[in-house]
Amino acid sequence: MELTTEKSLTESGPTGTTRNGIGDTSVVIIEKYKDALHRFCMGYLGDEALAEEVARETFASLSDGRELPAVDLRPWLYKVARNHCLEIMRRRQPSISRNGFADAARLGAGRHAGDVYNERQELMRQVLSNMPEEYRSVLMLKHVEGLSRAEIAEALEVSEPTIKGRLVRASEHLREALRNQSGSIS
Amino acid sequence: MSCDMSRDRLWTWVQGEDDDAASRAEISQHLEVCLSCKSEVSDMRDLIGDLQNVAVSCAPVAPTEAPRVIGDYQILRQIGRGGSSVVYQAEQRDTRTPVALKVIGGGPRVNDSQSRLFEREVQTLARLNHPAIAAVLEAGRLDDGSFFFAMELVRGVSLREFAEGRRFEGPDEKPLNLRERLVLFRRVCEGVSYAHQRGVTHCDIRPSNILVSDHGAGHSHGNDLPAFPKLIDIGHARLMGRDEAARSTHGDDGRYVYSLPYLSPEHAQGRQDQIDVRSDIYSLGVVLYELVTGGLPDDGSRNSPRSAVGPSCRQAPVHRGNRKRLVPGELASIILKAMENEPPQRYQSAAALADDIDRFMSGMPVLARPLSTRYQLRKLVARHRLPFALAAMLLLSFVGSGVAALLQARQISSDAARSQRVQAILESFYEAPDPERSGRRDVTVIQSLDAKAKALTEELDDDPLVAAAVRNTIGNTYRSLSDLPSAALHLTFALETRRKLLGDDNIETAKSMNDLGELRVLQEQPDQAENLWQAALAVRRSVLGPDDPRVAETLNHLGVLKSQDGERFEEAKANLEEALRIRRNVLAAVQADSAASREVRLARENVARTLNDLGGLYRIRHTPDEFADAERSYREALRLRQESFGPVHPQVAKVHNNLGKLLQSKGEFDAAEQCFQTALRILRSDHSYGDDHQYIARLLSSIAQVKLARGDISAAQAFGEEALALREKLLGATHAETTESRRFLDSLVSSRAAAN
Repeated sequence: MELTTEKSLTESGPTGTTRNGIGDTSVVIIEKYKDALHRFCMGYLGDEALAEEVARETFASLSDGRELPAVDLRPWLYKVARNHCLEIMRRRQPSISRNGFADAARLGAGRHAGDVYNERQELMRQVLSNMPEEYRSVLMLKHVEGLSRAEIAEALEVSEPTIKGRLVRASEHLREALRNQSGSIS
Repeated sequence: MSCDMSRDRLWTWVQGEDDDAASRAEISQHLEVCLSCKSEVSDMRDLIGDLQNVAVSCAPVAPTEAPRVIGDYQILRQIGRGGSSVVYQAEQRDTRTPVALKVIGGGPRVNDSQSRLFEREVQTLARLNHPAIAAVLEAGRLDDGSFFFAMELVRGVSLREFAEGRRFEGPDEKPLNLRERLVLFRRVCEGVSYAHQRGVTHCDIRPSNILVSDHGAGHSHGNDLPAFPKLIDIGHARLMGRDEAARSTHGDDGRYVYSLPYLSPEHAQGRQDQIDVRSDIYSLGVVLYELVTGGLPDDGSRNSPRSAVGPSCRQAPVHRGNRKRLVPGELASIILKAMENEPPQRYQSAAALADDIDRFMSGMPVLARPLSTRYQLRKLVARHRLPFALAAMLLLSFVGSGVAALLQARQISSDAARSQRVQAILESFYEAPDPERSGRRDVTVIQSLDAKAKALTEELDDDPLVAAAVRNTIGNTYRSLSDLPSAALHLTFALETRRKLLGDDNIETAKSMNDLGELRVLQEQPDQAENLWQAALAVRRSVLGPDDPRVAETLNHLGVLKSQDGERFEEAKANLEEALRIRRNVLAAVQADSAASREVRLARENVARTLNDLGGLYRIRHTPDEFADAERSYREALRLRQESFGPVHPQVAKVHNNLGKLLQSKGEFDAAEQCFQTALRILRSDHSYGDDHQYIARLLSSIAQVKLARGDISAAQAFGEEALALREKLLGATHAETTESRRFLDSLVSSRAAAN
């Protein structure tokens, strides 16, 4: 159903980015999700090239039909990308920490002029980097990628009630960790 | 926390995961009274905001020790840091002028892109001299290769903080009320408009980039609100029509490097060629949303990257912490228009947005609504009184002499059907040929009504029930003439008198509640309106039975009111569908029992009206199912009105227009254009409109938009030019709609130039 929506958007968008993509759904999908997936993978891997590779691999899975989405495209993309990331992290544990945000931070310096920096944000990065993956993923998918509870449940392959509870625990974990590190929040 | 509310519940609520409506309502109410939880929720929202900002930027820079001197400036302290820049509070060593000193990078780390960005920022800012924009005092390069520039130091707090009552110096004050917030926002728009007129887009408008102090100068509104906003950090501004090389290279990575909730879809998607002043309009829309509601558009539709690829945000703004409290309808429309997904659908300039805010504040009809809504009619009544002179004169004929008035009043009091008929007659005048054509205001009518109403009130002093009936009608007439305080006086008297003498469970009392509810909507008091209508509905159902047309009337009111709150879609739908069922039955009964064409036409029009409202409700959902329902409703409304009025009638044209807007939203541009063209033909051939009319200009503009959407830029330009010419003729060169047309054409020309 996502594909239908996509097609409709493509055909109807008067000023869309996909002027060259009409009739080529894969191109449209990649165009639409590549940045989001790249960002999502960066949170895990902290490596630009690797994140791009995982995003490409995810899209390749789509276009070659190896793993076709059963229900909805968006959560499926995140599920596949996350699994790729976790696999890479498992394989390369000695050389790549789970500290994706911290690594990404060092690599990304200078790229985002004007983005206001402050101490709290740096603390936030550290806390995110050290957060259990199941917490971080649910927060990222909810608040950064904007997925619904049902979509997150599909992407993480757990039930919706689990997601609901996990969101609360993850948020509280984040808050407590920040409070412990800064000693000044709230 | 000092109360029993668990933090888990608050987290669930804040994150939009509380599925229980009763629980949500309980928390909303709790937050109204519990400062501790309110603060807790505020922290939670901030935390989520920080999480989003950090997660999407991934770009910290290790803190460095602040230097003591930079160039001619003595550094006092660091006050901010961007991904490649640091901002210090400093003072010029000779003059001791306080400045904000921004330093870009450290020599070796500065690359061409950063240099270009900095130089562009300086060029951009150097051109600007406006009280709502922080001035650039000096710029240059340091020995180590770093760039710097000195800006006016703004001693203020962010727009959000200021609205909440925080001040840079001195104690906190009361949060600004809605009007003050709009005045403040209006001033921000002035600064943005000034920059736009000089070819500068901000590209990163958000509350933290708007500092507000409570002392300053430069606003000439005559409004004494001590609030002086200044736009800062225009570091991402791009020069329009210049620096094409930089435009095409800078920022092309397409990542979300700005504050997500405020970023326009085209900017978020990296569609660099489409970022223009209207991207700032989008950001202003989100800022306005936050300023009005206290929160950001939630449910993930606007504060996440998903917004960049999803459909337009069509849900009505809701107040943070009290979702039941509605944002005034016109204001909601303004916000949604500013936040439209596609730039051509937004305001085409900050000035146009500011003008609509002005209109809202002065009670004039805003431009952010389609022409087909009943709202337009209501506002026309409110603004242009001439046709309603007829209605008023009709009333005056009832009350012209004491005896005649008394008799008429007794009839109204004793015969509800008679009263309803009088209302119907009055309403038929409301839909008389358009008053905009005359553009005149007849103040003598309302003056006469004042005098008569006063005399009558005194004359009927000995018979309060008759007085209540008459004053209910007078109140409705005042309401139609847009004299809301007078309407409130009479309608409140009627309701209170009837309540006192007849009790709450009386059909006359219910009528007063129903009518006062209509006034409350105009007074932007939707909660009161809803309470009155709910009470009126209960009485009408119990006294008249569930199938009475008056039950349908109140249900229709409730449905339309609730349809402005995206969260109450199902309730609104239930009310409108119930109203439709009743009105269909009434129509069937009238058709079977009566050959009186007027009765049939009235009943048919009631059905058509509810169908039209239902279509509007379905349309806001933007889902295929609801689009289909909306289309069905509009098409039936169209058929009914064609039966009543024939194929060529303004009411028919309005449904064609609504249907066209729906099809446009669906992306069916061919069909949408057919609808607009049909509506255009009707209005042009209908004698009550003539060839030159504002509605016609709007239809031409709609056709231009769908032509553009179909890629037919030449035709879009032709229709756009026709709309512009008509608006210049009818409205003048400086009217907001004229400006909008001009902007549309400007953007077309730019698009063509870019394409070539």
